[in-house]
Amino acid sequence: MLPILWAANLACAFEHMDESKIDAVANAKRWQALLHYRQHLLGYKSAADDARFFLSPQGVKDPRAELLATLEKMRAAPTADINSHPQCQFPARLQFLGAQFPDWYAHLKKYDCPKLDAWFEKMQPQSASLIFPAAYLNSPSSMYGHTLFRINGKGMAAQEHVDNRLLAHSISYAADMPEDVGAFAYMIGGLFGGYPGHMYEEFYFDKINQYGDIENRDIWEYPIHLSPSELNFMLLHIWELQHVRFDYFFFDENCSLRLLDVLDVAVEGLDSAADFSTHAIPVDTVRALQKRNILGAAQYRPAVLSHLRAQAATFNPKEQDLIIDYTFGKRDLAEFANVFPDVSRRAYAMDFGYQYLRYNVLRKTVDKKAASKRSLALLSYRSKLPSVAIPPVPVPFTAEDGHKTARVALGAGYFNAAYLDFDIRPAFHDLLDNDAGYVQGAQLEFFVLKLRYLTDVVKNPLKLDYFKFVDVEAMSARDKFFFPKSWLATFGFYHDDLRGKYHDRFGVKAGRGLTWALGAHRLSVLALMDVNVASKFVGKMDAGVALKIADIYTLPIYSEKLGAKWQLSGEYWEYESHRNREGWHLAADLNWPLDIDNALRLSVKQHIGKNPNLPKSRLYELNLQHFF
Amino acid sequence: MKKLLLATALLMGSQAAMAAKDAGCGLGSIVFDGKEDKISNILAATTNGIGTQTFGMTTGTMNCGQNAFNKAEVDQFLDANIDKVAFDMSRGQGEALQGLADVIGVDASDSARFFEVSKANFDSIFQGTESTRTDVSAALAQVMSQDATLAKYVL
Repeated sequence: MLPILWAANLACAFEHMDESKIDAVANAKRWQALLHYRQHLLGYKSAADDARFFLSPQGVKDPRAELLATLEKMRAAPTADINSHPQCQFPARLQFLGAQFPDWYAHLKKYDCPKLDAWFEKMQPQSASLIFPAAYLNSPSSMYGHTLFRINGKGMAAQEHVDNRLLAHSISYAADMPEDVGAFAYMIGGLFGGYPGHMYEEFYFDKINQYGDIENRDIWEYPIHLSPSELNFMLLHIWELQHVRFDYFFFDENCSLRLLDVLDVAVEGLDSAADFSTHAIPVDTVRALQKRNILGAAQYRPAVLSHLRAQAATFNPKEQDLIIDYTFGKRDLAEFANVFPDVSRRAYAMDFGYQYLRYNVLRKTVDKKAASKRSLALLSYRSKLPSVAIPPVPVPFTAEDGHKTARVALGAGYFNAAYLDFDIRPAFHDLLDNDAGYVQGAQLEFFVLKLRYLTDVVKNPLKLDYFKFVDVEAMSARDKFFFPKSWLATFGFYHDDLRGKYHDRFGVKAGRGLTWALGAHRLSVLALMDVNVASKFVGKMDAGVALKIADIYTLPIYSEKLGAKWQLSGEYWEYESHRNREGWHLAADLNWPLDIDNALRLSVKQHIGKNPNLPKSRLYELNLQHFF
Repeated sequence: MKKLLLATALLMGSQAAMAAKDAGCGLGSIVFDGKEDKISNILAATTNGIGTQTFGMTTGTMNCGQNAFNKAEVDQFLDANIDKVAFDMSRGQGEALQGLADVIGVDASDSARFFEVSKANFDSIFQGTESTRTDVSAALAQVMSQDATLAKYVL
């Protein structure tokens, strides 16, 4: 029926459009990418959650209806504001359909789109880059990193073809989050309901200020290999996405996947989003693009903190003291001449000193008003000294050099009797995993499932040992210059085996403390508290407090990239009613990487309980871990 | 019950510590103090920012006044990068200073001179912690207009 209707409705332009061609285009991957369709068991649905993105009322679920409506509405009479004409709103669709239906296109009356033209004039796209700021534990939206595009053009520069990347424009997809939402609320919302999300355009310097200066995240920049026509098509499609709402889901429909969708539109046959069905971790999306040979070598843009950490060690203790004392207003600027008699070295120290002062202002560890006077005095003095180069920060391993993000483990252990363990973790990194490519001292785990098969139990020998929804630990090390605080938070379901006495509990645990780096050791001291819900407890609820001391010692094996880690830890717990868990929990763990994606982990655990009736026994466990 | 209350309080505290603060609140200028209409106040509005969903918008910000370069982009760039520009001027090199040169429209062949002049005249350009962004851009224009090579970039 439909073709006849069309023939009746539309003029000669549709003469050569047979039904099979319409079907072919409606089913074409490029068309479906342009409309962000996902195939489901029962048909199609677009990821766009916005009626304005579709020209047919059925468009959200029907690629063919949307195609027919588009072919028709592109021919609509000019609107009062031509910029809202479908040709101006959906220029990538227009270009794609023009190539598919040349006769239709030849007969189409075309309109100029002043706003679109002005945007291209502003962007002046020469090339595009994929920008990857590293993981940042203090913001739940960025816990496992983030990706965005940078369109390299003249940006805001007054000249043509300026390649200062600060001036370029960035394009990112982000959730529109209320400012005061907490981490757990964000995760729950992001997991199940989704937040409305949109594409945003910002200056790249604003992104650097945010990521590199405030959040102290290293940034990786990958050139994207695009032909001029692919780049042009990508920009046309990004234009189509402005204002369009895509609900943001924490794991799958997130910033990184949305960018893959855009690249899949730009590059015919790329099909990169197809690699992801359940969750898209930014580093995995980088890997998916590398596999398709569309990314160039990564450029490293270190965070200010990385600069400072790299340079701090180049000063002797006396020099360090002066820089710190000046920053906090304890000593005078004149002393730089005594401590640094050589003018070049003095200039180098002052360059460091200013950046360190600025770092402290951003962290609010120094009074801003007083710091502003000291900053200006320092810069004024420094401007009379010669120019000196700031040495580059040694380039660390890139995120994709690191282990893969999902992990499965098989283990065997002994705790009064032998048992077998199976453990799966979709994401991402724990404190004992090999650090190359990850932030040292930063743990982030999601949906960790551990099953245990007990050999001494006949009935139901398979037990759920635990299921953790999330387990975050941020153990940044302190030294003379830097004094971050450490914290951890986790919640999950636990089946505690206290030597034959089982306790099922749902628990939330949090802690705060400090971590110090002492050579290859990282020593942490934390106060922990937990709240547990269990049927056995009086009032169904219990709470505990603890002190935790842990030391992780890392030594490189085989190469700098692989480090064996040895952790000794002790936690002393006190509870309201869960008395059997009270006392010292001691553990020794050794993680020995076999290669980047395989490791052996040996654990010995001992509980010295306060309940004298509990038999004392030790747990031994060996795991083989594989990252994939 | 005391432990329960304590633990709950701590959990809440950790939650607050992790609270989502995506936008960089508090990135103000450190060279200048925070008086009304001073750079740090302007900064508080512009650098908090999440970008725009409207890609067609011109780059000018609302309260970017006329400057001696007649380019709103100069104001906008200074607003976001004043700390880095001051740092780069004091040492006569750097990406932010190059960015400012590009926004003003300084030719590549003159940028070494631009770096040199801004370093030599640092005290005239950044006169005090009370200076506003407008003062800085006016002072820079003044300094450039007195230089044989750079005068052509100033109106």
